[in-house]
Amino acid sequence: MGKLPSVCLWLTVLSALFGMGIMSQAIAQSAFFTAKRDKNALDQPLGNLQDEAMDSFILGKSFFTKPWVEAPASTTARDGLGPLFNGNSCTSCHQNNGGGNSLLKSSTDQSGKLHRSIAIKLNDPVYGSQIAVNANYGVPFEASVWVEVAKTSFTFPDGQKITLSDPTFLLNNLQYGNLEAINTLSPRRAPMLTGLGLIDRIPESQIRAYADPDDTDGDGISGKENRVWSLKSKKWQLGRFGWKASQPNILEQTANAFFEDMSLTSTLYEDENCTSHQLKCMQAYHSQGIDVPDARLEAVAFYLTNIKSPRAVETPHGKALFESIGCSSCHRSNYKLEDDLVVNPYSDFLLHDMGPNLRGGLPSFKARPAEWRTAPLWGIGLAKKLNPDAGYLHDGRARTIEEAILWHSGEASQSQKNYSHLTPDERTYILNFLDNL
Amino acid sequence: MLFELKKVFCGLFVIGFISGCQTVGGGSSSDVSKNSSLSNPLLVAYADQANIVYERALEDAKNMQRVLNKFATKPTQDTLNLAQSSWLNARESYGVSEIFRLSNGPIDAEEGWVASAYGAPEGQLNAWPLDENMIDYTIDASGRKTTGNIIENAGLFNPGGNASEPVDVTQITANALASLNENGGDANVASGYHAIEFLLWGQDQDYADFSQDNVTPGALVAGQRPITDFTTDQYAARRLQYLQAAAELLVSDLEPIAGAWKLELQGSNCAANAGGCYRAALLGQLTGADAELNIAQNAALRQIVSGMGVFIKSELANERIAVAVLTPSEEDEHSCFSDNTHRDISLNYQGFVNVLKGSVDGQSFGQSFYRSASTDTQLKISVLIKKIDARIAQMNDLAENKWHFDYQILPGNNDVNIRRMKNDMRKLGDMMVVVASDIGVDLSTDDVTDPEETLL
Repeated sequence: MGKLPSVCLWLTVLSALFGMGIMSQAIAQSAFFTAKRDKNALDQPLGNLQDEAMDSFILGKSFFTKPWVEAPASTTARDGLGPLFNGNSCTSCHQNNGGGNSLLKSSTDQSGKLHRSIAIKLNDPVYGSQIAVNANYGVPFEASVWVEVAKTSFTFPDGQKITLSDPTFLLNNLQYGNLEAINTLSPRRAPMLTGLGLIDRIPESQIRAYADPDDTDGDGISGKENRVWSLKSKKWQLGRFGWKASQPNILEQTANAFFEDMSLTSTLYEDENCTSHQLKCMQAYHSQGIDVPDARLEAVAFYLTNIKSPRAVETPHGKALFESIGCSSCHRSNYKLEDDLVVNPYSDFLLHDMGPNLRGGLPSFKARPAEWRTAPLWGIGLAKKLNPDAGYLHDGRARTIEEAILWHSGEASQSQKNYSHLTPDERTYILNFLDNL
Repeated sequence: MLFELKKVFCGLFVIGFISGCQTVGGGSSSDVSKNSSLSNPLLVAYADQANIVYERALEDAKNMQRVLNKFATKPTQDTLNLAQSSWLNARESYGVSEIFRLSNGPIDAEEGWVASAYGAPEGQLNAWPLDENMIDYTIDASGRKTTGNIIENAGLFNPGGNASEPVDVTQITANALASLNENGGDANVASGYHAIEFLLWGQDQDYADFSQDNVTPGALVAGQRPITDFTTDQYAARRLQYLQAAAELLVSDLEPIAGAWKLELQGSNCAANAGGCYRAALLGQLTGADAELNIAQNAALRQIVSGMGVFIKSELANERIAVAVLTPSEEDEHSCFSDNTHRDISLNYQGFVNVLKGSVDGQSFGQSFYRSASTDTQLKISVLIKKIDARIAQMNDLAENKWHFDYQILPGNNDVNIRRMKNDMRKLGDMMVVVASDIGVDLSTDDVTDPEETLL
């Protein structure tokens, strides 16, 4: 990150002046965290980005929020959308930098068109690696995605009942013929963009420290690192971003999203996003050169890296319960960054088997279909402030945080069971704790 | 043009290395260090692929073992269905690993330190055809049950055949099965995926008319072993024991192979612990006394590229598809009991394409043979891949909805699709000769046509 050192430099200077004490911690805190808990909570630049850094921030923000258009257009910097795409801007799925929807518009619907903020990944010679529900004029879109929701009832030991939604995803209106491969359709809901810059700075050793893929300590938790290919450095690295920790850094995750969700090319994804089977897509107008040149790609990554994280107000009783039932075995906190800043993302960034009910993800390097990166919980209480229709879990099947907890199984089975055995008051304490992260 | 530059660069890179290491079949290069960046990137990507693929295969095999053990403690139709699913699941990841065969690699090297270190377990894992009669009862042409099999004979069992040795099968253990495997000849297959498959599904045969070699009990029906074989039948307990022993042996055979491809050396020397050694040897990274085990780069590339060609042309197109469709006989259909052959074919092909293109699940990494080839070669390969993809899709679609593979190979049941598929796959195998030439490796069409003929 080209501009970040100036921030670090500022911080180091200040630390030297005031000593490594509470004063520097307080200043560091306010530089990196915001007390806002409204729809602007994830829109605050880090404290004191100066001049050049602020330029990068607003440039990146502009290209993140404003719509992209089909080429050719007079706004040559913003054209190149498609021919196949899902949304026409990052914010169409990451409203206010939040996450995607819960399956359907209305919670009473049993089936219908899947909200486009949940992408369908697959691996098909004709349809490629993601289904595009939209396309430019003259080019057929790929398919529309339907979701059928089976309602199941979960009964707590104390008798309380709650309805859970079990989705099945289907492709309708296939525009390029049948799927060629035998495909698993893998839904990926747009995640919240909380604390990306801080996640990026967590030292690898602190993530590795908790990996226990063979469960040698016998606690039933077997977090596994994902070893992923970095397109930029052309080597294997620890993955930490994305539902299956498939991306090693923010820049590559951004480039991947530009390409998969909007077919915008960059130096990391130079070829047009059409398969050789998709003639109209191949033949559509393609602007000369790549759509997102490095400087702009880096600016968008810089923007995402330098947004303040929400400041949690940790409620002690809820936190104690959270830990006692075992959530913190995977949803970890207390990482110390290189400038002694302590961060609490509530994730170990490792892969865990979440059981057959949450199976259905396309594998990704070391991540098997039923394995998912522990979702970071910081900011989860803000999800519906940023997007009133927000869902939870990788496919948005959970409409509340409690539903998400109840879907936990596999390695998390015991914790889920512990949760369900709590009294209603105790459950409220935990949900309240999570709401305030 | 970017492609041309890449091709020239890769060519120079490879030539640079080849000229530095002239010894064939081993011999150290004193200037090769542990640094991965000095190893040929094609070899690194190949080894990375093997690491991912075998790890998955082992995980799924262990899962299958767990589910089979659960079945054995409580055999019901439900747990049998789960057991069958776990087998099918394990086959998904094993199928894509078969591309690593026929390359003097750990799975099936027959000579030298690789064979001694890893034991070439391929036969014990995946041999077919199976000698069903040796394992359990079968129904013969007159509708009679055969006997003289392992399951029905507690005590000393003589498998028969050439120079066979009797084995004590009072308890059916992993060791007993290992001693029985290929004891008395190649046909005596007692272990591995297909032995487990046979026990879980039973014969997929026309009990009424065996001699006609007709294929029933139905176009979309596989073997229908009754659950009573595992519950009330007098040999139920032995069948369950066999399943557990076979699963245990399979996992213990596969584990060292996954170990061979680990990213780090697992021991201080390869004689003491061969974990990670094959990868290191392939990448020329072994040092000290083990350095003599390093494989010369040209030899490494040659064995891989020819292995790929032999696999898709000779093994997949010829042995597994051509023979099946030309006969047609159920015995020659790879997963005949479960009618899962369409998956075997898809997965074997997918494994080939993964290695050729340097990707898994559509995600690319490292240098690939495909990208190292000339633009012209890439085009020709793409055309073939597109054709084969479409044929595989047809085959899969029919297998799921109309006819299992054993029906598809019958004349008139769209067998033309299967026939053309094997022809296209043969051409793809031949393309490996061109790819070899593009990367500076010397191969001829003979080298990809028959494993017996290939001089590695």
